[in-house]
Amino acid sequence: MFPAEIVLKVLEYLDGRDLARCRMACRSLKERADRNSATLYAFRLAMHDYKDAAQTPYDSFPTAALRLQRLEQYFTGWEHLDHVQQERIKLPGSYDSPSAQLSGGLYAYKYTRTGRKTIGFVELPSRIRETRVTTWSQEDAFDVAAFAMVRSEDLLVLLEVNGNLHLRTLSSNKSHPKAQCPILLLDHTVYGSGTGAVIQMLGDSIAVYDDGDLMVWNWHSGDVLHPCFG
Amino acid sequence: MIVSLVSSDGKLYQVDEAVARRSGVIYTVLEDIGNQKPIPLLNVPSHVLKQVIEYCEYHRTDPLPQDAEWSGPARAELVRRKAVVSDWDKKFIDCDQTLLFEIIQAASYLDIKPLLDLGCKTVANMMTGKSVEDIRALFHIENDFTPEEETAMQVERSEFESLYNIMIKSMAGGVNAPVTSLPIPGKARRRLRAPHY
Repeated sequence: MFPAEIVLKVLEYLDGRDLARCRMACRSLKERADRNSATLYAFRLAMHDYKDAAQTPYDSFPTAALRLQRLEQYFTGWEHLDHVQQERIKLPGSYDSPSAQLSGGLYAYKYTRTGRKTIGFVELPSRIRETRVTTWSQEDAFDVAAFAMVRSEDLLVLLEVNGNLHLRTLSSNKSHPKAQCPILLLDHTVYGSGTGAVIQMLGDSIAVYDDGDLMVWNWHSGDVLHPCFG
Repeated sequence: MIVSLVSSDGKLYQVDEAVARRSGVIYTVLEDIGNQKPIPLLNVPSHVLKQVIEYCEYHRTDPLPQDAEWSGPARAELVRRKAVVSDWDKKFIDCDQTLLFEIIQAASYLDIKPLLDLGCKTVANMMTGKSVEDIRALFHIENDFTPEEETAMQVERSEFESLYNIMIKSMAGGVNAPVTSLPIPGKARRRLRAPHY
């Protein structure tokens, strides 16, 4: 077999799932993969189907070792579910709808501001993510019927009452660069101003259910995967 | 200027200085001692050296990798993006496994970073999507785990392979279970198992 530094170089090219199988081949491979922060981090992420959303290389800040440490802290946190910090956050607007979501430390909820249904965002404080409380609102001149978001993809999906489905970035509220069609169209106006509309996402698919009508798209390509008229 | 290189089995190769300088080790020798006598390469047999010279000939005009560039963030970035391999490189490295491993060792010994990266990337590609058994066969690895350790790893793995199924199930569970955020890690997931799972 190769010297340790070459084996490590090969391991660095593997993704988490391949690393998982590689670790099971023999003791020395397992030890080498587990002793290096970058490969151990990649493996631990894949184990839980997580993705590193930092988009910066492992040897720039935060280093792989630091990311690994925070990931383990995060897992431990979920295991114990203890209060570590308490903070009162005043939400902008009156809270008039139970429609709220949490994704990647970002809390978002629907509320009415000057007669318009919009979305309020709260970046929750976290020691692991090094974030502080920040609040802001969606600045659009239309009523939002329903919304969904995926922080790791920087994706915000807004369903406009007239049936337009907007694919935006969470960070800048611009058209999402990965979406070929930034606005998908429902074939009807949302029923009852959208109180019953539901958006769900899994991988590349996005589904909108509204009073018996279900539509599914691939949000990257804009292709309709499932038109269903009920 | 011509540089003379001697393989481990005593064969003499004469190459242009620009070609020889692709190797960090030869570069250092030329800087420190100068180009006076043939440079012995004790760990590189002639059939491997021939290949390495072919690679260096082809890449003679590429910019020389700076140390910072190949060890710092830039290299990690390459690793992450699995930088595109050129057609020539692909064809060059498409050889039998024994030779591939020898080329990697020579690239490491001679300090030719782009060639070492190419080799490692190729080996990683060979391992991609392979089963544990396939990986063992590929590298002639003996399974040296105890049965207990193997079972423990299997459990760990089956838990993570089934995670995606759990996500899909909860997705189908109804309007109150939007799985638009990160999945919950293993133990907490069991603890939090709500009716919608």
